[in-house]
Amino acid sequence: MSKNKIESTGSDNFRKELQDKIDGLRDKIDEKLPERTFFAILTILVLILLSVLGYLTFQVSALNAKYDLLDKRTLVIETENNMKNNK
Amino acid sequence: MSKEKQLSDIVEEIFKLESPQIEESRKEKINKFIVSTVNGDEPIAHLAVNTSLGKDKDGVIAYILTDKRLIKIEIDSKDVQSASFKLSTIVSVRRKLIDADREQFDIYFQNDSFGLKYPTVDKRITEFFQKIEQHYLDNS
Repeated sequence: MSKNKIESTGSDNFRKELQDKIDGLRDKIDEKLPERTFFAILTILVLILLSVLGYLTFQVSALNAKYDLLDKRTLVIETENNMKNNK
Repeated sequence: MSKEKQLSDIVEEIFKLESPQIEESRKEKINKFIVSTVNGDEPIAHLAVNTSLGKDKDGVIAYILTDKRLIKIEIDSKDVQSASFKLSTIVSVRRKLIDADREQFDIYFQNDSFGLKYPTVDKRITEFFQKIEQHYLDNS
């Protein structure tokens, strides 16, 4: 080694240790990513389905209420007609 | 001087080194790497030297002393790597003569150590490591 050469000393453990940790985390992310993507899509689909069901339930209740009202009106008219006929 | 200017000065210094010289085309990438490695710390002092990085492997080592950390950046013909150490984890700083005209400075941390062997005439290296030593002594 030349007398004028500058040499780096010491260990590289710290960097290697960190690099190993980073590589390990990257592997875990790679493993978990497809699974997590699947669950994320599933969750979104379930939420959409629940929203649609909620909306349909609301519409059906509104229709039922309308029909109930119509039935009551029909009943009133029929009763009035019967009363007129009886007179 | 702004942090950006200080960091770009370090990059310029790295690219002025000649044995070996780092390819000019890598300048932008290395600049970005250094900015992200320093990560907002306040640079206090720096040193960039051509060194042997291992067997038959030469390159550049840049040390950046910031208000919080000591950062070591190694650049070879392919890669740029960094290691950073909190100044609070320094456990000792040692300087010794290894030959009549060579000396060695080592910084010991709680879980690692690094340093340089260099010719005594290179006062820049001595001065830089003395700054680290001074910081250690001021805070210990």
